[in-house]
Amino acid sequence: MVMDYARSCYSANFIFRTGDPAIVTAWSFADPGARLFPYWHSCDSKNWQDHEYQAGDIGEQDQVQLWLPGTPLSRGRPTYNCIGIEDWWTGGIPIGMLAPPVDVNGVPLCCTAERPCVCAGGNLPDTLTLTFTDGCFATVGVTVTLTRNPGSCQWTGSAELNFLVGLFTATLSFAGPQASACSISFTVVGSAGDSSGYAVADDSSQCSPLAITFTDVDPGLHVPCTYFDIVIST
Amino acid sequence: MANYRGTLFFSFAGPPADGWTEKVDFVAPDNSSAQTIFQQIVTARRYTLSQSIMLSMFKLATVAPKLSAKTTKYFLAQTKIFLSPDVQGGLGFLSVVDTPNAAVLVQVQYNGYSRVGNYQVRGIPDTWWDGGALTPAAQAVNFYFQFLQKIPMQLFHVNRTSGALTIYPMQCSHLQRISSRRTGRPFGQLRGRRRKKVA
Repeated sequence: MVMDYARSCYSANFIFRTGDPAIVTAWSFADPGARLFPYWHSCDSKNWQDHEYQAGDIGEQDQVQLWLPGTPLSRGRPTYNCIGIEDWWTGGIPIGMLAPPVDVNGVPLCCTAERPCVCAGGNLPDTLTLTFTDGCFATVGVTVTLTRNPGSCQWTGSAELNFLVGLFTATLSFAGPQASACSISFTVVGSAGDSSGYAVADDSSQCSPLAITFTDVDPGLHVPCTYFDIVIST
Repeated sequence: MANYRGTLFFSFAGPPADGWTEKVDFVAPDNSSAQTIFQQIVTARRYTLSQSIMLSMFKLATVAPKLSAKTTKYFLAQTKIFLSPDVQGGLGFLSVVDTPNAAVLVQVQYNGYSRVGNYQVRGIPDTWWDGGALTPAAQAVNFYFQFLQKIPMQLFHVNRTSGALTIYPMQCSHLQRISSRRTGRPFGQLRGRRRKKVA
């Protein structure tokens, strides 16, 4: 997400809550096509501003600490989840507010997770189970557990399916709760890391049970014992 | 009324690629009104630009000037950024393909000839050199500064005696001269080679 325009990246001290000590924070270049932060905020770059600081300032505090190459973040991409409370971005995090849960890198989960699920109900569980109900004999009855980070719209999981070379059709049933009117896409990536040759049809009009059919339309591309990465997104 | 500072980012695809920014200070009752005024500034500025130059990005910030200091520094409170589609920026409206190596020096003033600020208005077409004040570019720049006067644009001025910072509304503007530059050289360098670096 784009917070400001700058020619170079650097690290500088930031304050996110009045009274808190400054934290060294690094600027990174946004990915191409990244969207703009949609609200007014105080976390802009003040490197080229004729700016002075006053007590209680939120955001960047002082001079450049270290010039950086601005390599895009490697630990996930910021999303829109942390913007739920607009006032925090201009006035800082309220005093007394507990720190949000963070991931192993210390990044708040709300900053790395995807946009909150907005399909009907919006309260789908964090764990879904896919059950193969049709297809080659080796696939029937196989279950795959798909998980997501809280608030994410994407459940991921994988399965090792002993498909034989040749045309096949398998149907997966979605064992989650009723969530009508949501739209779900389904991705299958073969062991070679490509999704070519697989035709995936999903019945997104009725999300529960979700019946997904994928067909190996080019079996010459694929080998037995295909390892699938399965992604379901709303 | 709050003070706002709008920053316009200009880009020229080249060759050689080039870019610069311009800032306009003004007052508005709230963020929404400031955004509307800023949009009008952007549109008026596009009429002064040749079509090879783009107004691509924008930044609007609330500022709190530090009135007691011997400086024009200010407290920056909040910022919002925009891309071209958000405020309908884009290429200049003048049907002239040009490089941004000509600029017109404009003095903006309050109360006659005191409290003068200077603006280098870049991105004007070279046709101004030949056509003079009747060219569309010259007229558009005149209109642009009349528009800024109507807003009005705010001029930051430090009194050299008291050291106090005062903010004046712009009351008039004068087009001083057109200047050009070689690529990579600054405006205002009259002629000749670049200065040698002093070790």
